[in-house]
Amino acid sequence: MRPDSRRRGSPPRSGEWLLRALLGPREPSTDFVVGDLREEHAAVRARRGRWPADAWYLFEIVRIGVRGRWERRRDVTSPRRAGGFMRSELRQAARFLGRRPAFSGAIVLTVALAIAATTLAFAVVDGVLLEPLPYATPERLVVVWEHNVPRARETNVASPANFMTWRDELRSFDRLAALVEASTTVRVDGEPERVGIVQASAAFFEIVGAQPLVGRLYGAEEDRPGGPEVVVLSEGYWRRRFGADPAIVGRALSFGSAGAPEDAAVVLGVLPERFNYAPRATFGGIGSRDVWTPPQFGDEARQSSGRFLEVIGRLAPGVTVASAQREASALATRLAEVFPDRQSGWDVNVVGMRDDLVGDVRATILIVFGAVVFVLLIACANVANLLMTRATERQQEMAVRSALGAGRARLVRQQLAESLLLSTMGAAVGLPLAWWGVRWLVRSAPDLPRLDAVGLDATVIGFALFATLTTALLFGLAPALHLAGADVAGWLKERATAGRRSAQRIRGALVVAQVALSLVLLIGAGLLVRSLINRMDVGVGFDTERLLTAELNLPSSAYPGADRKSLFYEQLVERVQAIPGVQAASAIIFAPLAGPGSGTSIWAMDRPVPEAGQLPVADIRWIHHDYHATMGIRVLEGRTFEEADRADAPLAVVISEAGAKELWPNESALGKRIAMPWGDTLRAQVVGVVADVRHNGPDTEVRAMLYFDHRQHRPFNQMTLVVRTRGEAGDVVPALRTLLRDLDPALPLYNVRSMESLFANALARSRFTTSSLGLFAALALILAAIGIYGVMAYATQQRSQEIGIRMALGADRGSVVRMVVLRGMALVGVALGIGAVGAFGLSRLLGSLVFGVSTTDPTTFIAMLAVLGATGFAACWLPARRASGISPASAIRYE
Amino acid sequence: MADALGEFEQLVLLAVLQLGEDAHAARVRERIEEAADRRVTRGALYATLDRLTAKGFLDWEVEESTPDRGGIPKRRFRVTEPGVESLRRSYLAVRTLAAGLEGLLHEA
Repeated sequence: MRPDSRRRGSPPRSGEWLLRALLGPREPSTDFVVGDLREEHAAVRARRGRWPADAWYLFEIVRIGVRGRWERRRDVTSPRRAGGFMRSELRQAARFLGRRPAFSGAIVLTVALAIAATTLAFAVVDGVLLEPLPYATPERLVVVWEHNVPRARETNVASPANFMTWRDELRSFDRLAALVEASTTVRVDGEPERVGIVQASAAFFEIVGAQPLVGRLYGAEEDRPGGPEVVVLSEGYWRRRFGADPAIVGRALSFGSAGAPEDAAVVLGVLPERFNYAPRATFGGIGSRDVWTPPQFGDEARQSSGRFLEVIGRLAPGVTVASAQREASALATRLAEVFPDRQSGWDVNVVGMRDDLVGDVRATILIVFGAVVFVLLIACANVANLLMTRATERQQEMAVRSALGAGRARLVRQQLAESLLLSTMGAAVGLPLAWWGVRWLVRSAPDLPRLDAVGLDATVIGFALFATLTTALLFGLAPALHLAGADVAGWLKERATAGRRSAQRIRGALVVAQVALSLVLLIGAGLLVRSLINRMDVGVGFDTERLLTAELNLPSSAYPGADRKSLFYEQLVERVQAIPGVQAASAIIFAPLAGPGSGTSIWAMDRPVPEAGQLPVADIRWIHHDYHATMGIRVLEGRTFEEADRADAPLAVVISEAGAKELWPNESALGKRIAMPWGDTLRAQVVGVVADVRHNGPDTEVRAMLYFDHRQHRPFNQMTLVVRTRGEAGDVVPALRTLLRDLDPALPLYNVRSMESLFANALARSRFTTSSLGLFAALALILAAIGIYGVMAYATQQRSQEIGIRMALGADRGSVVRMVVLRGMALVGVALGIGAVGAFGLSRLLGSLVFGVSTTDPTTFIAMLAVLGATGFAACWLPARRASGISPASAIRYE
Repeated sequence: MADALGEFEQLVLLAVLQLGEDAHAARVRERIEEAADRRVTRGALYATLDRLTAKGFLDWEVEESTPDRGGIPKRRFRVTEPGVESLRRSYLAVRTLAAGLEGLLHEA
């Protein structure tokens, strides 16, 4: 029947639904209106045809529906309206708020802070986690790590041999490039300078899609064994050192020491800063990447099984990370069969480049963002509470106006207009704050990856606008609903008791929400504070105070042979020890907390040798014999190195406690012999056991460590001086430089840092998370206290009549205080219960950020419950005390 | 006291009275458009008809449907006694205020 009638030319039925939706289902005249329109539709159709008639019909429906809806919400007492969406409401709101600057100012400030914090946090989320990497085809870029299965090291650097095999055999990748960061000495106009250098395959430039700023980048022609000595300068170095001179192209720079002209390399071009990729593989790097050079791997590199490269690649079109992973793992299995000694236990791990970059900070960022959103919600609840007070006060006025014919919808709209205005003003103040915050963050945040991508771009601004509207809705909703739900007639009759009760309920719910959210934040912050304290307590195994570190590197051209280098370092340390203000001095190849060092597999020679891949692994360091004394590392057994441990003496090793326990669990390590696959197998006798040192920071695992005297075994050229001073660590730096200039003016001293600053760096991220979460928790606590106080003070004021009568009838002050406080604490109690359950569920998200404490640590939970409970009590007690001071006479007069 | 009538409300009530047995929404609209020489949107008309009905100034009864209306009956409007009273008051006010101004108001 209906399809037939449609074919005969009835108007679209959607029109009726639309009209009903607009006018409401119970509107009686809707049917008749539809009937009238159908009749007219038939006429229009006869004149102009079917489609124009349908369009006319729908258009009229919309006009009638909108007008009808508007009509019913219209305030009959003011029929003349300026028109436009909420324009008159907004004007009225502005007038109202302008008359109450303190009230409005408090709200605007709260909202501004909350929106600034949220926008700032989102800017970080967007820049670090959401924005694509600034390279060509970012979604196809991956990092390929070796995966040490038995030691669960999933992102181990790769060996040149494996890199070359992958490059030759894996079809999942378009291109693979190997990178390693190091440092070298460059001489410009005769001045030696330590610069950061990256050895990077020519394919790297293709993978990231780099174009040179000036000149050209090197290609396969240069990146081959025996290729020409060429370098590409980073944009930063080019600007800093050469004043952005384009004539740099073709110039030869002299690397190494003065006596080695053959180290000269020709500058080909300049690499734009955004392609200045920081590989995690670093070997004596200085934190800046100034010069790029091709590694020129030849066939001999295929024998090189030492692992020190970061390998990045671009997936072939259509290949996923998972399928590349499968192919690479299959190859790893084959390699382990061919080279069991160096490959068993090793898999390959293919990781998307962005995941690799932001992997361990993702959790931190999301947690801080979550905390900020909590604060925003709490702020909304507070503002809603303030507005509720107003809505309640206004209810009588509203009731009167409503009785005179004002539509309730208009009153609700009025309330929403005020919220919108307040939140917009909050955003207007908050956005500049956020902009300033971003600038501050970019300057001062600790080693956050991709910080350069953090800024107030369109996405972030869009988010801020969204946050503003949401905020307005959130804190406008409660008072608006309260007004809409108020029984106006009853209100007038019963003199407002019912309305006040409903307002009180809403405000109570808001306070419960606030306090519960605050508790979650407080517990989170408390857990992080305890973790930070634990990290600082654990320490690193040596005294970090008044300790200076400085690196230097002896070029083999000027210091050929291991003995020559050892002699130099011996003399240097001896003369440093004689500097006034120096208490002790020594040297080690890679200082603790200063970055990665080298490691090796080892085995005890008096025990069966485990299978390849199952060998224990130890860090390995070469030191000057005074090292342990200088650092304050205790000798637990035997001795550390002495004068007598010279090159001609038998090779001695000092092992750390953890290493000794791992190799010889229940017996003394002293006198035992160990071996390691270093060059030919290296064998040494244990002469001492020393306390453990956490080389990579206080929250890292303790690992086995082997120390060798650098005079007996020296595979590398560099050393780090460690100088224990009597005064400030920095005081001896000038004397140190003078001394070094006397010894060899061509040697630059670099990475001059105090151990305390290295220690602070190691804790920087933990401190950053802790202080941001702590700050937000404190903010939440203050807001919640204000919220409780506001509700209790208002409720008390509302009940002052009742209180006055009670006191007139003989209630004492104590019982009044008790009554008020109990009411408030009932709310707080409910909130704490909800909050504790929430914190129990959410605190596990902190996961790896907590250290030495369980995420459900009862002490922290109880302490924070107590803090919030006490705050709540204080916020209830103040109004209670005021109420107990009410004189019965004045209270009864109050109306 | 009852609400004062708006100008458009007066026009609607007058048109309904003029149309008598023919006072259907569409005809009311046409009549006002002709007489007042202005566009009347259906939205405004229906809203006003509903409002006047709610105030008790208008009443309606149902008439038989026609095929074009798809079976939906038609409303025929009628001005109630309070409606006429209200209209009378408005007219009285206009007439009182216009007294002596006939010369000015009749020219055009």
